[in-house]
Amino acid sequence: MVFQILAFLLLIYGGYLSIHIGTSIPTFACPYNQECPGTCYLISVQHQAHNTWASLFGFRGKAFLISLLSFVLLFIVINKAWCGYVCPLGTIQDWITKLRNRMGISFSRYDDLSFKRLKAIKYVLLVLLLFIPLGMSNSIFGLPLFSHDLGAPFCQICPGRVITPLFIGDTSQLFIDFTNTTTMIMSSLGIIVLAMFLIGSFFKKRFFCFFCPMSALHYLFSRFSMLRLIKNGDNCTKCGNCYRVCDVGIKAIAEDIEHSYMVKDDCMMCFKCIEACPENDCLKVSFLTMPVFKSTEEGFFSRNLHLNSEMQKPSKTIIEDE
Amino acid sequence: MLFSFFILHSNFSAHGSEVLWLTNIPPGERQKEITASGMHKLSSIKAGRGKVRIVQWVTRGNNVLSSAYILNSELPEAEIYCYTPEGDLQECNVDSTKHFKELSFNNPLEGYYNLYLIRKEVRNDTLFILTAKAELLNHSCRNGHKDVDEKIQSGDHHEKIPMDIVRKRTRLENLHFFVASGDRISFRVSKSSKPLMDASVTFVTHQGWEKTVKTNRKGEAEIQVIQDYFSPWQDINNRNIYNYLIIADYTSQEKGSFMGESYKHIHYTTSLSDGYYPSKVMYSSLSWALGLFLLCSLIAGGGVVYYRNKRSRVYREIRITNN
Repeated sequence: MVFQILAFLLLIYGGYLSIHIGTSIPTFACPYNQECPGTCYLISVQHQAHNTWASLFGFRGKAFLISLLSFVLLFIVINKAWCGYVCPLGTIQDWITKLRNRMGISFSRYDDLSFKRLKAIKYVLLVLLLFIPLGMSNSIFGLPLFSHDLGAPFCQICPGRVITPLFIGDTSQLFIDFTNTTTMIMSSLGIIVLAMFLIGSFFKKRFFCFFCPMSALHYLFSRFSMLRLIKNGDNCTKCGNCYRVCDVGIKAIAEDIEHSYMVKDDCMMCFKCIEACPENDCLKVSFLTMPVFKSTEEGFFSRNLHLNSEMQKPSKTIIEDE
Repeated sequence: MLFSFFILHSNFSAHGSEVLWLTNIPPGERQKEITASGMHKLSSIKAGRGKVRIVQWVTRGNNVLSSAYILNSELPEAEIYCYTPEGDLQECNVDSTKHFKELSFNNPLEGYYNLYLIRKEVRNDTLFILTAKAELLNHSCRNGHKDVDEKIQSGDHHEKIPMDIVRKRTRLENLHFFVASGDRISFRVSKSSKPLMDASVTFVTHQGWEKTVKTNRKGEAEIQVIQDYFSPWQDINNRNIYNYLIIADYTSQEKGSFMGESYKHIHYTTSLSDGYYPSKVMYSSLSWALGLFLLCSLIAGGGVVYYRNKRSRVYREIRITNN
C-alpha cells in the first residue's frame, strides 16, 4: 500500500522534482499530465508506429527496437506487478473500491462466458493502437490514409489522459473537440470511456485493467520476467480462497493444478492470492528463483480476520458464475 | 497616389523606421523544393543523406501578408549571425544563385537556433540599426525528450546583437510548444545585455491587427494573441500555422559616426516572427464534456443498479420437516 502510494506520487508529481524516468515506462505515466516524470510506452509506440514502411524498415526501425528493448528491460524486473503496484490508474481504481467497501455496496464479477469474451478486448485495442498510426502513414489493404486527427488513438480514449492531469489541478483535457468529425468522435469516446472507468471500477474491482492494452502487451513478455508467481499444484486443495480474493476474478489460479507459472494475461500480481492461501508453499512469488513471499498456514491465520471480511463481501444480490 | 502611400507606409514600424523580418514561408518559386522539417515544420532543403539545412527568407514590411521578399542583390552589407542552441556562433550561407535572399544553416542540435540579420545605415543624423531575428526550434521526437528545460532556453544576449528581443518561455513549455490564439506571450527586450525599459513593442497578427505596448523595468512586455478571423467552424484548419510579427523600437541619444557619416541618434528596430496555431480551446467544450460524462455515468450506474435489482432473489426460508 505504501509502495503503491509512493509510486502514484512519483508518476503524478515527479515532474515537480525534475525527475525523468524515460519514454518507455511499462505503465500509465501520462504525458498529458505536465508534471509526469516520464512517458507511458503506449504513447511512444503509437508515435513510432506513425511512420512509413520505408522509415520503419530503415533508421526509425532502430529507434523502434531500442524503445521496445527499454520497455522490456524495465518490464521484466517486476513483471505485471507494474499493474498491481505502480500504475496510477490501478491505484485510483483501488481507492474507488475502498469507497464502495465503506458504503457497504457489494461488488460484481463476470460469469465465465463473459470473462472469456471480454478479455479479448484488450488484444483488439492493442492491435488497433498499432494499426491506426500505421494507417496514417501507409495505405493498408488499399484503404485511404487515416486522418492525422487519429494520432495516438488509444491516448485519446484513455481515461488516464483526463484523470491524471486533474491531480495537478489541470482540467484542460476534459473537453469535446468540435473541430471536425474525427476529433468530435474521438474526444466524445474519451469522455464515455472516462465515465465507464469511474462507474465500472465502482462496481467491479480493477474494472479497466481487464480491457487495458498495456496488460496485453505485458503478457507477451511476461514469461521472460524475473518476478514470477509460482504454484505448487500438489499442495493445492482447491479451496478457492485465491479466486475469491482475486480482484480480476481469475479462476485458473484456483483450478489449475498442472501448470506452475500462474501469471495469466489478466493477472496484475497484487499477490492477494498468496495472502489468502492457507496451504504451506502452495503459492509463492520468486525473484530470479529466490522466494520473496510464499503462502503459509501460519500467515493465513494471522491475516484471517482481514481476509474473512474481504471474502464475505461478494454480492448477496448477484448470482455468480452462471 | 494613395495606394503607393499605403505600400510605403506599410514598410515602416510604429516609429517610422523600416522593418525587416525573417520568414519561414518560401516564395512561390521555391515552394515545390522546400520541405517541412521536424516537429515545428521549419522550411528546409536536403543537405545529404538524412540531413537538412534550415532556410529563412528576408522580407520588408510590417504586415505579414503584404510584406515583400528582399531580392538577393539587396542588403549586400547586412551582417548575418546564427547561434546554435548551445550559444555558439555557426556558419550561415546566403545562396547567391537564388532570386530572393535566402539564408540557410545546418541544424544538427536539438533546441532553439537564433538567426539574425542586421543592417545599419545613417540617414538624417540618425543611425538606423535594423535587426531581423528568428527563433527556430529544431526538434524531432525520434531524438527523444531529454533535457527539455535546457533545450527550450532562449540563450543569452549575444554581444554582436545591438538590440535583442526574446520570447519568454512559459512554465509548462516543452519541445512541442506552439503559441496559440488566446495565449498571453511575453517578450524581453535587451540592449547591450541589459533589460531595456520604455522600448515600444508592436505585435502584428497574421491578418494585420496590431497593438503597441511599452517594456517595463525588466525590459518585458506582455501581449495577448488575439484571434482576428472567424471562419465557419467546419472550415477551420487547426493544423494551419499562422505568423505573427513582433517589432521592438527604441531611440537613444548616442553620437558617433558610421562608415564615415556622423549621427546624433541611434534608432534600433528589431523584429521577431514566429508561427501560431488557432486556439486549442476555440472549438472545445468543457460543458458538453461534463454533460456527456454525467449522462453516461447515469446510464451506466443506473444500468448496473437495475441489472442487480432484476437478478436479486427474495429471501425465502425453506423448512424441511420429518413429515
